Amino acid sequence: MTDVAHSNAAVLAPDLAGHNHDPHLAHHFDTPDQQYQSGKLAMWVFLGTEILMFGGLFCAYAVYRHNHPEVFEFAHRYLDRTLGAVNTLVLIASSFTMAWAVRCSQLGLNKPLKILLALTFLGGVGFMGIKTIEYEAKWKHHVFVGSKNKYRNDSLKGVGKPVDSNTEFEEEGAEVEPPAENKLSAHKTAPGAEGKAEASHEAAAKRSDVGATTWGRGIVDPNAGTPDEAAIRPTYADPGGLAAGVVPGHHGEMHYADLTDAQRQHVYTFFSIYFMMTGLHGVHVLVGMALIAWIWLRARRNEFGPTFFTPVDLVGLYWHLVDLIWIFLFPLLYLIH
Amino acid sequence: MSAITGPIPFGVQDTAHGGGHAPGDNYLNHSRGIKSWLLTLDHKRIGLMYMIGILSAFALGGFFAISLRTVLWNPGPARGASAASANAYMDLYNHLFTLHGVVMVFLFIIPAVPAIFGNFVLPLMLGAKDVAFPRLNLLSFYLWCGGALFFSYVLLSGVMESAFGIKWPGGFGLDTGWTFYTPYSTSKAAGAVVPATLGAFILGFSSILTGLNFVATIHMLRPKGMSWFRMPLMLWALYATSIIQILATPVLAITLLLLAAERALGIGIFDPALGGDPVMYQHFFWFYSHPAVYIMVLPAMGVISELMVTFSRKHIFGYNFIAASSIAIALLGFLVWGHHMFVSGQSPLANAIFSLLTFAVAIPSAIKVFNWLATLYKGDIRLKTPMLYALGFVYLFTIGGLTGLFLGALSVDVHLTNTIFIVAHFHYVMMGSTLFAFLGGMYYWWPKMFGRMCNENWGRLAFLIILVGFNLTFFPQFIAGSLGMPRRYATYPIQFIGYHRSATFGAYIMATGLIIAGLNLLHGMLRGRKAPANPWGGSTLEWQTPSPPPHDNFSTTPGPVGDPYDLHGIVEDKKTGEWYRLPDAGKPRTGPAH
Amino acid sequence: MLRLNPGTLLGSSPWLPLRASTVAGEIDALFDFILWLSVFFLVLILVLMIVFVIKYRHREGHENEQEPGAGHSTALELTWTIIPTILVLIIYYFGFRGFLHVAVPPPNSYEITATGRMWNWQFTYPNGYTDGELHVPLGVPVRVILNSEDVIHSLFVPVFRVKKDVVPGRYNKMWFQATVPGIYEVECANYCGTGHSQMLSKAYVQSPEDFKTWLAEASDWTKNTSPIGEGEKLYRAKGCSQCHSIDGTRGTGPTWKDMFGAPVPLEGGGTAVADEDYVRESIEYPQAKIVSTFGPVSAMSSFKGTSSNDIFALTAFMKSISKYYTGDLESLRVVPRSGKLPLPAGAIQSGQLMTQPSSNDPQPTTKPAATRPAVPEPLSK
Repeated sequence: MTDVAHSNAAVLAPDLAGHNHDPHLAHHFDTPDQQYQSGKLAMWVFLGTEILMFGGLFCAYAVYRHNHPEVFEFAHRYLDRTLGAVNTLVLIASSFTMAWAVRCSQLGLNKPLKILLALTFLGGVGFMGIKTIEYEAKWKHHVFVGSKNKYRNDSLKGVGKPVDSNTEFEEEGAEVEPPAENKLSAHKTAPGAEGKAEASHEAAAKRSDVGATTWGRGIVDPNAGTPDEAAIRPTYADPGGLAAGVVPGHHGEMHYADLTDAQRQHVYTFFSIYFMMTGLHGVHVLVGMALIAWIWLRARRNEFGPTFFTPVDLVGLYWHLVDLIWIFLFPLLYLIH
Repeated sequence: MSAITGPIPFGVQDTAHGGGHAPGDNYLNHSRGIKSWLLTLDHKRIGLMYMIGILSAFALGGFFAISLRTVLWNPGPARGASAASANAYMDLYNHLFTLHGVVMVFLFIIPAVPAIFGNFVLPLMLGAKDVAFPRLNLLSFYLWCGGALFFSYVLLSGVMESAFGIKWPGGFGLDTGWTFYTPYSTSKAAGAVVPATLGAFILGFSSILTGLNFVATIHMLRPKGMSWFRMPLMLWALYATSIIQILATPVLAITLLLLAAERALGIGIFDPALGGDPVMYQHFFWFYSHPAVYIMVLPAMGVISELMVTFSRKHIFGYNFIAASSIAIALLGFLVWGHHMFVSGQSPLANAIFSLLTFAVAIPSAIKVFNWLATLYKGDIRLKTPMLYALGFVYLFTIGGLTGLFLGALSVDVHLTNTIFIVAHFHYVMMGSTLFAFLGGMYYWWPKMFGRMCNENWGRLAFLIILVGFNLTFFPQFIAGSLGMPRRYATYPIQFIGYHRSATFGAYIMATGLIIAGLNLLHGMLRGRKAPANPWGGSTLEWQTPSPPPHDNFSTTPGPVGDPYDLHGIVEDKKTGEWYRLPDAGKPRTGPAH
Repeated sequence: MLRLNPGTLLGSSPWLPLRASTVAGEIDALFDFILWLSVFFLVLILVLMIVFVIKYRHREGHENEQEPGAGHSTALELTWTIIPTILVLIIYYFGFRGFLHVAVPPPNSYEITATGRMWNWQFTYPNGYTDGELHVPLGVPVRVILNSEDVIHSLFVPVFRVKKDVVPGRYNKMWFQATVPGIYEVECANYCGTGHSQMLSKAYVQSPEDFKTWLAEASDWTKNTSPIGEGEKLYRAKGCSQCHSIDGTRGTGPTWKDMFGAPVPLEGGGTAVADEDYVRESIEYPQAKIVSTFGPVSAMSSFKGTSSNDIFALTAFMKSISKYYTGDLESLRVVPRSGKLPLPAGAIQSGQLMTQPSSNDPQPTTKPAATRPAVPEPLSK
């Protein structure tokens, strides 16, 4: 009975118990330690939810990579390993400065704390800067998301895209045009250019046949690329749309020419996953930077010390998580082969 | 405690411990002005604000339900209707059922019990002053409002387009079904899919943060003496719910993000036209949305456990089994999502495993029902309005659970899935059960919230009307569904007209009952008889504080914290009907339940 | 057209439609078992609840009869844990067994391809003939390969107790063996948009001989239908009627009445004349020229692959309902018989119709696939 009353002393009698308390102690907690532990618990649980959120993307990555290993091997070569590696180092370094900052706040070393927080923030800036350079290169070379990706192929909408055209990067501006329109206008307006237009049209028609069934006339398996209905494998053994392609017995690098038509359809998927993963991670870096800026401002006001360092500690945990996720992303995306 | 002999009334101020509350000072009138509500950190006020929002959402979803049932009164558009008007007729229905589902699922039934009762009674039951993170709690509420704003945009865009022909960006209304199945939602639907998914995304974060807050509160703010197995079962249920919210909602968040990106940019993860896999979307979606079903029903079960004890005047039967079954349902609930996809073409092996796990979830549910029955046995049962809802819950939940057996059995499910048998099944579980528990909880804690009692006779009448209306609405759908009536059909073959008209008729009856129940609550809040601190003779800690509670929840030491359902020593004054406790009430004694 | 046969109701639940396939009996038996089990438990729980509520209700002089305190009985808990467990395991076993019978088709099944599109079904028979209705031979196992051209549908034949999602980009399969001749409902069971509830068809169960005769006659339209007649049939069978009216009302797409030969205002400016090539292009590439106020994106998906004969028939039908068409309609009302289509001179410009060859036509010779194009090299390496 007495221990119950004791434990609720702060709860029950704020006027008596509240005066000599730590100013950071919220009214509904008994002790600073209880408050600190609550924050810590909540932060860990929150980090768990973050991991689960990325987990969905890792799942999508695993499924597509498992089903199209050669596509991933081919497409990942668009990514710049050097920049990725530098970014990894930048993040690890900033994680180190962050951990050091947490320690400084616990020891009440306010000046080093401010410097280390600033350094961590700069690490974030550096990371995002390098990321921007990488994204810009993707944009320039038409391997961005959505319609800014030359490998995208709208097969079911009757708008095929000649992904295997032999144009160089410089010519790709024209290639982004939907070929169905090219073809139609070629028929009407430029009969002189029949040969070239016909060729690209033929390729487009072929491509769209792969995805869309030839209506009213048998079925073309988009995965096997064969019109042979008997060859359609049981769906459960080999889910369509995710069917594992034939892995050619090559030992060198994967080239576009090594991919089958069905595999080429999934090159775009790699870029989508890449941009979703790194984009979501980038948003987390930005949030982390905002949080660091916020505790830097609080550190300027000398708020932290051996009795109160919870915010620094929690932001530190968050920043380590952001770092950790990148440490998984880097090899999964950049170091496939 | 001073040595008092003889009965002690509940909720008296204990000045000896410095409880410095003026008489009549409570959380409702502690501070005044709209700002003191909008910026409040008091969990009770936040709970009430949730209640206003969530009940508005319920009214809106109910309006859609009544409208769509009205459309289904006739089997189709009038004879000789032009193609355009027939399409408009079907589109209207499609928008109505989608909006009904989205509003009810995301805005009403997922947050209903945790956000209203969880917020209001969880700290009270713990004898705590507040949840662990009051600011985060307020943020959750505003996130809920933000999500609701997005849904309002969806609704208004539909109204603008159809009534005034004004196009808003993003599409109009919503016609995808609440499941947003790709590729229809990403490439074909006319509805405002992106605003709707972003709204659900934001609501997801509201849900995550609420769950986080409750977990931290239950872990850190339990008073000394309240071990895990001395927590009220409502807290076990809320804890299990919070686990699901924390573990499943992030997956929904990423899924909806991908869906919005698919719709806006065409990223090709789910759209088969771009090389994506629509079945993967279903896996992702149901990984959240099946556990979400338990987010809806678990806290409702917690409410029922409380009601059963208080109104049977008897200790809960099988406390440990009920508590453990909550956790078992929460964990098993994560492993059964594939049973929504038995006919989607996933492998028979996966189907077999998901089917087995689905049946495994049936066991803890059955355990709960039997334990509640055993709680009634040899009790002293008082059929107050909340208890009627609890008994109604048991009846409807039993039907909902038993019809689940049909759907868990693989071969039978092939025939029944995607028919209105499913619609009937999940309405029995989600609406019949959760709504009844919700209403029971409203009538149970209403005196605590507002300090006034509701009219018993009107409450009982409303219960009867709702019960009859509910069964008229949904029972015929079991039969029509197994006869082959698919769900989400705007038009239907003439042989189903009897079932559909019964359902529509029942929906009107149910709406009448709900309106009566709501008016009764409102009347009770404004004009009802003053409520004592413990109007029902409840044994959990929230009944020890005055009604309505003071700003800081407790002016006297709550406790002693022993067995939460020990009714020994809580006695009724036979003349006045007031409840008192004897000095030794609730003292920890030797017994099997802790 | 669901026919409830009173005879089959004996000993079976009135909740289920006619049993018309080999697997239906097993499924219905399990359904009935679960039904009676459920009735038993529901009655048990309700009776106990009502008896308790009456017997132990609060009244003058009545007290809680049990010693207050913790109520618990491990024996009882185990009883109501173990008995339901055994029961659900039995249900699980029979459900799974039945499912295997539903899922695994016997070898050498007759194969029909079902294609779902918004909002109609197409059934393609092994000889390539496509029909909007499902015809199956009695007593022969039929395997249906399911494919969708747009969104997810689900093929559902209640009397056969079979259902399977029709997912774009993958092939699902289902099978059944019909046991009762008749005409039954075929439904779409997965929500697919505006016309979901109209995505219905019929399943005709015929004797194998009748089925054979039907297929042979149905397959060759030029032998028994005029181009206009066939066009009208295709208009309904291929689902054009879902969006295009022929009475001038506005649907999801433009009406066909008085369309052919008329100038058409286009989305984004300009006009086009609705001639043979415009019709063909709109069928194959609906996004190419969108009629003003129906855009910016056409709701129509591509019907690329429609045979030239069918396009010809559809065009003939459009001509027959347009006042702007001034050419010869008589020849389009005649059954060709020869299998050769009457191509009126001048009506079709310089071989436009032939640019989309049917599968039997020779392919154009300029085929670029022989040489693999060069590969775009990745930038970073």
